Amino acid sequence: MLLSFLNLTQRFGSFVALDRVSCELNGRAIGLLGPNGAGKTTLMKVCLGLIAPDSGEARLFGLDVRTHGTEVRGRLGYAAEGAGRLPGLTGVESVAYMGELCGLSRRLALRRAHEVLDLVGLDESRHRPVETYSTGMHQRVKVAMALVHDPELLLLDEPTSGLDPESRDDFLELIVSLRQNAGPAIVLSTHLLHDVERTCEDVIIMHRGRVRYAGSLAALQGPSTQRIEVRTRGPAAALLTALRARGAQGAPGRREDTLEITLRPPLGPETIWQAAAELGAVIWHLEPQVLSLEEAFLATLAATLPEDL
Amino acid sequence: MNNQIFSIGYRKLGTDRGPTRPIWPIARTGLQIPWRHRLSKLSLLPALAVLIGHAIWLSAIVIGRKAGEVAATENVAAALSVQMVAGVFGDVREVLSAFIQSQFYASAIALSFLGAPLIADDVHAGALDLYFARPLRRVDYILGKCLAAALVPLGLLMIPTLLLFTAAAGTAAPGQSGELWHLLLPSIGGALLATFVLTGLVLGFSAQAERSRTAAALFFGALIVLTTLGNGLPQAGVSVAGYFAPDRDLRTVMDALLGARGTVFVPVVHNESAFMSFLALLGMASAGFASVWLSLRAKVSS
Repeated sequence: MLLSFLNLTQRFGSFVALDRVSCELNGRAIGLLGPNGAGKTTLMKVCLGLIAPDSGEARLFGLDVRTHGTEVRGRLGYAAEGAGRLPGLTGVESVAYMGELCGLSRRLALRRAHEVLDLVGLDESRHRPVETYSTGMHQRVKVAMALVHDPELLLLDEPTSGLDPESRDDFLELIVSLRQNAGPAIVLSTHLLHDVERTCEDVIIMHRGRVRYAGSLAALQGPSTQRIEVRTRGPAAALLTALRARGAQGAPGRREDTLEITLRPPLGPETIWQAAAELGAVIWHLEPQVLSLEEAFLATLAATLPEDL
Repeated sequence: MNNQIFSIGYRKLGTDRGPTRPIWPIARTGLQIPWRHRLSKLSLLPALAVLIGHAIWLSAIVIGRKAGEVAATENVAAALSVQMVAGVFGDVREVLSAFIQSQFYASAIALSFLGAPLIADDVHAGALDLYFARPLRRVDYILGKCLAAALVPLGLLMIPTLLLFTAAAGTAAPGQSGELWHLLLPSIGGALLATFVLTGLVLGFSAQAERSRTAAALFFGALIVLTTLGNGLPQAGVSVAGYFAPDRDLRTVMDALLGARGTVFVPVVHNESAFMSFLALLGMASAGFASVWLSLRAKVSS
């Protein structure tokens, strides 16, 4: 198993950054999705051993991060969010240095640094000091620094934030090519749904320190979460209230007699029929809708966990 | 025409990786970054001036003695001149002791530029995560930074001390050179002690400050304050405060070491004042290293 978390909890004072996080994933490209403050960066830092969790267990490649931290980090590449850089070094020196920190000889590290800088598309500016770089160039160097030692898993924390559309597109293309070729498995932490939709096969959705969904993207958008358009002849508002009471999410539709209902397992379409029968409402139109990732994401966040009750 | 990059794509790396204790790359890069600033290079000038000054002093002693000894075989007046030269210029052991005391401050100036940024710049740039996201232990990082910081005083204290000693021993009259060899180990010991103290202090301040300039100012300021207190308070009757001054402690230890023949540490233990000075220096260095350890333990968990 690539990633495995069991009841992971991390508090910073009274703020709970990770709240009993439990999930297992084994994909090639995993999106770590959630709004700001959801706990994504904390989870990544726990994976790296940069933060020791208060309780619970994090395993990568089947190894406990707490007891095998050095070994795990040797198999990981991490591109942090923000300014993490070594001012005074050029791009190629920074990348080669990171290679040396991972045990490569100086000569091999330098050769490999040029190779990965070619891969991320940084041109002659690799010989300029990193503090003179634009955001896009800096992001490329960070990914090169994470790739230089040929990790098995690449952790990218908000890699496209601050990039212009063209650079962002190039960057996502690079992630796709890494996934499709012999590159490492990728965990992409972001709050940008489009980035995940384009590059990932699996997704972990986090909100307020909790995992709301962990599984394949297809399953998230597919039949497990259903959005159904309902037209009713009768008390639509009462039907909506009854469905909400049964755990479904819903909102009035475009017309007076229309409802937009979102159902998550174990709820199915029969819930609507049962509620309508109890109220004596007549349903004359019921049409399943295909969820966009954004809709699936919002539905997942809106879903009430049993622990929240 | 614009330059274009053509990548061969992602290539797996073989298994040719060494052990991951990258102490030397950390030390090398730690010095490489500040060395690129012109001020850092200029900061070596005081150390160079101290070295040249003491080399001239040493030459004057050796040349004066040689000339005097040659002349002394012919008349009494020349023999007196040998004694006069010795009286004015002192002897080799005094030169070495004074050199290490003066070079201590010259090295501190260089360390303010080359050593103060070692940890402070990493903290300021948010680079600690870069380091500790790699298979790096906290102790490896500290050892790398210690090596980087120690290389500066080693280069400015140890090597010039050996050069001065070699010059003195090489140019001395055959009868005197044997006597000079007894000064070798104490000189090295003194230089190492000074290196240890300077390394501990500069890294201690570098770990606590979040900017290299602050670290440099704190480090150099602390040395000046300690020296002032160590020299001023004993005159006001607080004799124990004399141990606050690191240069004075170093000179006391050096004088005890250079004055003795044989084993290096025995005379320091037997000389109460030198022993207290030695303990004071160890205390300063230990406080610095403890500050590094505690600061990093608070900042990173690995």
